[in-house]
Amino acid sequence: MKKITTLLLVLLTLSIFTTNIYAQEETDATESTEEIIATSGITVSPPTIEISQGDLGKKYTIEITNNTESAVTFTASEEYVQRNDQKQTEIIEREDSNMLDFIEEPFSVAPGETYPFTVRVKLSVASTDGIYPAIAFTESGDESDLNISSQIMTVFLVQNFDGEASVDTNIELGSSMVTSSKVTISGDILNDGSKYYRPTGTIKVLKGETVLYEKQLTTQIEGLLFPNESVDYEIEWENDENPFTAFGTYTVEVSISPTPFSATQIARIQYIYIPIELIGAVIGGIVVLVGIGFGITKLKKKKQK
Amino acid sequence: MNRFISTFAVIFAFIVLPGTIYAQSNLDSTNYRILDPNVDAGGGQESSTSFSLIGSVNELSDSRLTSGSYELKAGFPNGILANVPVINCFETDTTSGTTNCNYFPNANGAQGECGNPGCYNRAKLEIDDQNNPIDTIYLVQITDTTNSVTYYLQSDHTLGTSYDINDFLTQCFLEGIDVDDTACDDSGDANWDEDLQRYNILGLLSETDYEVSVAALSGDFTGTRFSQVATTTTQVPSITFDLDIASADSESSAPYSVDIGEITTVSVATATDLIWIDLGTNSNNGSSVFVRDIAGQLLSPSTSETIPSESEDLASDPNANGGYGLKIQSVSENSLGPLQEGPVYSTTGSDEVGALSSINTLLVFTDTTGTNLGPISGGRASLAVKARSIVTDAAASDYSDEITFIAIGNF
Repeated sequence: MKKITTLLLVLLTLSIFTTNIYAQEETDATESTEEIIATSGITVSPPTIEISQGDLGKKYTIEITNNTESAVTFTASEEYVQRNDQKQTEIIEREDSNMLDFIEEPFSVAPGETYPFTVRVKLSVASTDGIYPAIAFTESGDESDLNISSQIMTVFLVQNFDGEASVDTNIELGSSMVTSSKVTISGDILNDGSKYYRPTGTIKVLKGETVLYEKQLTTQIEGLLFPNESVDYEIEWENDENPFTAFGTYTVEVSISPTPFSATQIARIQYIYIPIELIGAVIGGIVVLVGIGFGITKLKKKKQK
Repeated sequence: MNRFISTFAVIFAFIVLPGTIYAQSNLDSTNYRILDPNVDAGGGQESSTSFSLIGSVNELSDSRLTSGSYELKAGFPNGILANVPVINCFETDTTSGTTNCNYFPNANGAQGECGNPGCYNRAKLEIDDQNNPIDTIYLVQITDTTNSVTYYLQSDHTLGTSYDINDFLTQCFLEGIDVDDTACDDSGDANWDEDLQRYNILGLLSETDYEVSVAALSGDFTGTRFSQVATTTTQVPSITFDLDIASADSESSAPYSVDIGEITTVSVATATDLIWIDLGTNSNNGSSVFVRDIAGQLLSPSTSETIPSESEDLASDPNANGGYGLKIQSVSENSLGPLQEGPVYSTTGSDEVGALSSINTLLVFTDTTGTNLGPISGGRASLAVKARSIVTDAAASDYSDEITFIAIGNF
């Protein structure tokens, strides 16, 4: 009877909370103002570490924080990963896993505590050709039907030490750019070098030397771009010049920097804009002139008769 | 020559001409345009066929003279000088209850855009333009006080140690919104930029203290000093991952195990407990969870009998060899994301499962294609474990397997 009462109380409480939640959503449907709730569990920071040639031999500290209510024991191991076509990290099998130095003894992290785990990137590490070492922290399960373990990783993105950073930028204009004031400017940025980098950039529209429009592209193209990968951008620009003075040649200029490298690449494309209003006015003018000419000719003929 | 005439005319007017009050209306000539000048008592606009000029004898009143935040500026060209902007917010880790920013798209502070615990390589800056004209341009100075390096916000919204005129940005191009600018105050406007409303300072270092100040420029020789500074600290990039074993959504502690119950030939056995996965990250590239087991089967060590793990509908068991696998029951998130289902375990039939194998297989992942990019707060997925045997399977009480769930950040 006690159990049933407790169960009923729980159900009642749940139904009251459910009603309250829906009521809140109805009154505040346009703006979500839920407080951010930290996910409970094991936190590993950072999830990725970028390694340049000068970083070989250095020690890095990875922090493992136990946000659960009981102590957790971890074992560290070395794994290998690569990035797939969907830009997701894939774990791969590799026999010669020997790029990282770390202590392989299990370690325990008490609830609410943070454990600093030290990893050294070996001096002997060579370019990895798109395959990167990772340190995996495995939390073990127990012996039963389905023994379940969890594992969380930090990836060491070892830069390719050979070759150069290089950017190839393409610009495409929408087909209506000749007569329409609205122009769609799109394109892609291709990493045609051998190093990964973060592309940043801007796009400008100029008429002669005058900059009519400038917009940052960084938020569209940000993130690491690896060799042979490309990233798209697209903006729409409206030419608000007076149609009768807007006729002329325009230049679209895209400037991309492969951060942290200094090989900024600028791509330009030119187009001639003939406003539809101007075309209409010219055709109208021609029609009027032809009409006048026709009228004069007719009048002359009439007089001759 | 025209510029010389204009300059001379302005000086001449400053000395000699009386006039009326011209405030907040544009002054135009064929050579220049001044938006919203505040030409106070004793000034005016004059023109002839060869020049236009504005004149001001003195600046008589300014309600802001008593404020500690503003400079006392009297006399021409005070009326066309830009005002020193005020920083509304400079944030990396605020929530809806603590933010001072007005235009976060998700209305949950910086954590609403970057996830918990906040932004680690970017920040949000908003300024109060102090009634400067909409074409006033601003230079943002950012000092890394941890490493003592001064940067300037570049036109691509990253940091550089030097600047040129292209790095002075209008409020619209700085913040992605300017409520005073009709070309930038609505989501349909060409210059509206929701990305910049999320965060507009990129390329910061994690766990670093930054100070920001802003100077304004509203035409030649009208630049202001830098404003008072605002400070923030960038957060650490992180992934949080947890497993729980429970019949309903609740927390449980390691070590984890699931009891499938009695596996029979006549019906599909479903473990009473579900496997729950928690995933949270502030990583811009998001993260994924993979799953693998030892050998793609349930094994009875005492009888050496196996039940294979296969992607199939266990209700019909088309191979007539039994089977075992996982099915995603639900995915959800508190904010950002969303959390997406991997194709193998996103099955439609109630007893349709995805196979486990020694190869890591994608289970769930954060969507990185939408406007939220990769961060997610409070990602939660539940998985059902299902199995079915065949008549020839030896009865045993020790069918078992070892499953590992792996969380890994994308890069």
